[in-house]
Amino acid sequence: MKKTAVHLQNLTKKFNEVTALDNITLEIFNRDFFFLLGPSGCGKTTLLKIIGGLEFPSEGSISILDKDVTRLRANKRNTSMVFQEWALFPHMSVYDNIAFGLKKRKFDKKTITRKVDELLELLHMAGYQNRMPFELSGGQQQRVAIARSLAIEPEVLLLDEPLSNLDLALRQQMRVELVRLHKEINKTFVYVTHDQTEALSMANRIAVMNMGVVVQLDSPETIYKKPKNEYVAKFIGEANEIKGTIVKPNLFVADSGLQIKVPEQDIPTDSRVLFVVRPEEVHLLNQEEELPENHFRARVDTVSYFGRQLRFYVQLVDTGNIFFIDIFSTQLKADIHPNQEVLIGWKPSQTFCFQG
Amino acid sequence: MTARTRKKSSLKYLLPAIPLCVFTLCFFLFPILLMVKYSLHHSLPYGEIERIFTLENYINFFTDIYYIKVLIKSFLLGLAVSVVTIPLGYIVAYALWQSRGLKRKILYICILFPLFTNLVVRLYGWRIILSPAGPISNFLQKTGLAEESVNMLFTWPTIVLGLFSECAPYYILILFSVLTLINPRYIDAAFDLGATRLEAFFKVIWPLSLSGVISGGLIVYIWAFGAFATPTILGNAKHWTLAVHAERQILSLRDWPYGSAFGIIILLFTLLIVFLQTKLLKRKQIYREI
Ligand SMILES: Nc1ncnc2c1ncn2[C@@H]1O[C@H](COP(=O)(O)OP(=O)(O)OP(=O)(O)O)[C@@H](O)[C@H]1O
Ligand SMILES: [Mg+2]
Repeated sequence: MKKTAVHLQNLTKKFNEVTALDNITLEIFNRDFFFLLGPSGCGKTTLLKIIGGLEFPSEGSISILDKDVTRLRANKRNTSMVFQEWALFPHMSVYDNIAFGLKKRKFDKKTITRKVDELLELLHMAGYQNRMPFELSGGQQQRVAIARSLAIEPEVLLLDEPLSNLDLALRQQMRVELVRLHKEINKTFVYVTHDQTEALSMANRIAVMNMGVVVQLDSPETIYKKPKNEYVAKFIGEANEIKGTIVKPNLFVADSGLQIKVPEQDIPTDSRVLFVVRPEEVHLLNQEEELPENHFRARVDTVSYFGRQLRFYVQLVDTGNIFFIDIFSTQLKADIHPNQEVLIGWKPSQTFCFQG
Repeated sequence: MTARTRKKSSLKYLLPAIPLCVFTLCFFLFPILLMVKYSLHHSLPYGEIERIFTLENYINFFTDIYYIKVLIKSFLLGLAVSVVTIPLGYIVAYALWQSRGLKRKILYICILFPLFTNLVVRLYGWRIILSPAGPISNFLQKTGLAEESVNMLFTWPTIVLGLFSECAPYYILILFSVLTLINPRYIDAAFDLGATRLEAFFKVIWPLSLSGVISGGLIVYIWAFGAFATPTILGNAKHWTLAVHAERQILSLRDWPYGSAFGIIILLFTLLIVFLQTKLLKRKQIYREI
């Protein structure tokens, strides 16, 4: 059984009449790389601040490593936060920034110097002790901010969109490094982001949030492959959506008349649903191959080139529904032109229906 | 953009400043030069001026122990007012920074409101409040804290109080504008790393707001050093600053050269203080380059 690092129970946070968090209960396990994923304004930062003790919940309780800390202020908690824009103290050198928390802990000077050196080493920043924050690039400031938080050896490291101010290349590099860092220091990380790629590629568990509630809490794979509802399916990854009705437990009929086989689910017949299929699950078919249950004739509308991948917009010949399809360029056998007629299809098991 | 076009466009932006420059030249710089000239002349009885070059006014000033004492007292007054205003004003500025919504508006109005009233009127207000027949004296007598009426006028602390109430709004607003530049996240970050409220303040907010304290404090100091109305209205001859004496020399004793020399001396000391302050700030402010 896994140990619980952070346990939130019935947490509610109200700012005057705004409810930022609405009755959240969730458990973060020890050594998790835990992600809070959701759109802007859904309450991610607020939740993180409550874990760190920088905000207090209106209702509910929070415990860290089985100790109730609901009323403890940030300086009494064993957590540390890396802020969205890093918030390095601008009047202190890199050394002083990292040593800030250590000086509080009554280490002697030699120990502090050694620890700062070690941390800078760990974050590939050795030799930067005497720089001022404004003399550092964004990526370097980011590392210093992480080092400063790690210096106090927190049980839980809280990261609030730490990579959102970096360019794409640096962001990708830092993602890999953060995963490495997590492995190396073996502590619980709670990471806030609105970037699904970040969450899917780094997390071992993700809580998808919307408007102050946790909508789904699962592993990245489950979140992507088995989204619990329409919201998660749309927020994570891209999707073709069609409105229609379930006429039989395994048959969906779109408003356009398109009939699609779907996996059997316990949705009452004749209820309105949204049918969803991901663009990479729709394939271009070859007449000679064995055809999947769902296959339709379609006309290519546009082709967009994305380097390693192509996106086709196609329109079904019979019912006029529009789909977009992603295909790796290497998998494409022959050139495909707009207006060409093709056969598309997908396996029922790769699709979802959500009651609306 | 090339250097040349940039130069051109910056010249263009200077154009609207020309009227102000002309105004300053005519009504500020020119009178000062005139005063410098006067201060180097010899004065005759009955306010006449002999237009010869002499340094006697300055020599007289710096060899007259009475005026040296006045100078020192003016310095001390500046110091006393700064010592009172800097911490008290800081508390108000900090409260203003931390407050939101209606609370901030009310605080803002309370700070600005005194500036809407004429200074002399405000000083006479103080005179009424602090006089032996005033409300404070009455209150002290009624509660038995004082046996007879109390006169708080014409004392040093009263002058300091008067100057404090004059300078504080300017100091608070300057400091507040510096505080608003500080990311409030720094306080969170300091808490998060284990600092107490006081430590967060003294290690992070105070050093970051120091430039505001210094420039605001400087204005307070200069204001009190060159104060004229307050020592005249709330004090008597022994509290007079150099500025009051300058006015006396010119308007009462009709010694223009000597009075002008006083004025120039005040100006020179003020410039010296400003100069020292810019030195002080330059070293403290490197991190501002972000
Ligand atoms: N101090 C506050 N006072 C009033 N309302 C607040 C305060 N802090 C947050 N809120 C509100 O709470 C809600 C959640 O805010 P929060 O900062 O947690 O969002 P977020 O998910 O972190 O968004 P983003 O991705 O944009 O950072 C928002 O509606 C916000 O307006
Ligand atoms: Mg946020």
